[in-house]
Amino acid sequence: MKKIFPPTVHLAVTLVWFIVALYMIFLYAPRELTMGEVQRIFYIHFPSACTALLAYFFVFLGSTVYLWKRSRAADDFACASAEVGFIFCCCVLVTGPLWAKPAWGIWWTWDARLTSTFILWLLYIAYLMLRSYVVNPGRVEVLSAVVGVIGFVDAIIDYMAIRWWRTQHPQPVIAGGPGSGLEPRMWLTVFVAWGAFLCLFAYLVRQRMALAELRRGVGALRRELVS
Amino acid sequence: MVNTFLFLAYSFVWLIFMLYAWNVSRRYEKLRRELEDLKAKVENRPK
Repeated sequence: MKKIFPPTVHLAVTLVWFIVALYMIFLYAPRELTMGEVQRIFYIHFPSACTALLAYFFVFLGSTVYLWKRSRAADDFACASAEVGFIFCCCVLVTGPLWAKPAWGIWWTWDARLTSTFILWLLYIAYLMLRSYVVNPGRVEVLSAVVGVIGFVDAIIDYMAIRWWRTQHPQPVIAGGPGSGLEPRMWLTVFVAWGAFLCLFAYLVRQRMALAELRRGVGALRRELVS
Repeated sequence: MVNTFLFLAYSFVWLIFMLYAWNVSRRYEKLRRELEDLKAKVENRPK
């Protein structure tokens, strides 16, 4: 992977993709009639939310594989996904209220979607706190993997909330049934922006996994020096 | 007023990503230096 697609090339591709996405968001996508310019927040809010949910799915996947096979790579992947997913979840919780205030007149409401997203954010924090506070090797991986698996229930509820209940949050744009959807240029902009976010997510996870590998190398050398 | 929200949303998102990327690279550099120090210590220790 490193040889085929080095991190510097990956970063360059991500930056170029973001420039294209920003061009499309501000110059290509049409102005929404009812909400006006503020609707453009959607182009970062939606990809951040999808990426944060996908990241938790990766946490679940990595945790399940770790519990089953005790694979160190799976644990590294779960941990990296959790840390980067948390960053994307922060973006969701920042951009959401900034869109809600002009659109609804309120910053926040405890409806099913918003509450389950907030719980997802807390789950990310719980997972990361567990990783940093439990120092017992072997035990920390198992405990965080259990949180990763159990917490996935909330990720499913978060995804389904606007389909199961009537919420203040808008109904789904993708796979939302008849009447849902966007203007074609808006669709294209959303997908390009989402692609840029996914590329950034992959880059950050990669860097975070490289960090875990380096930490392991330092640990091994420390033990060698002590022995 | 509405454009202020748009500006704030994009600014915060970039700020969050920049801070995280800076934090990861800082941790990476710190570990890399530590690894080099430890490697030197291992090589120089009496056998």
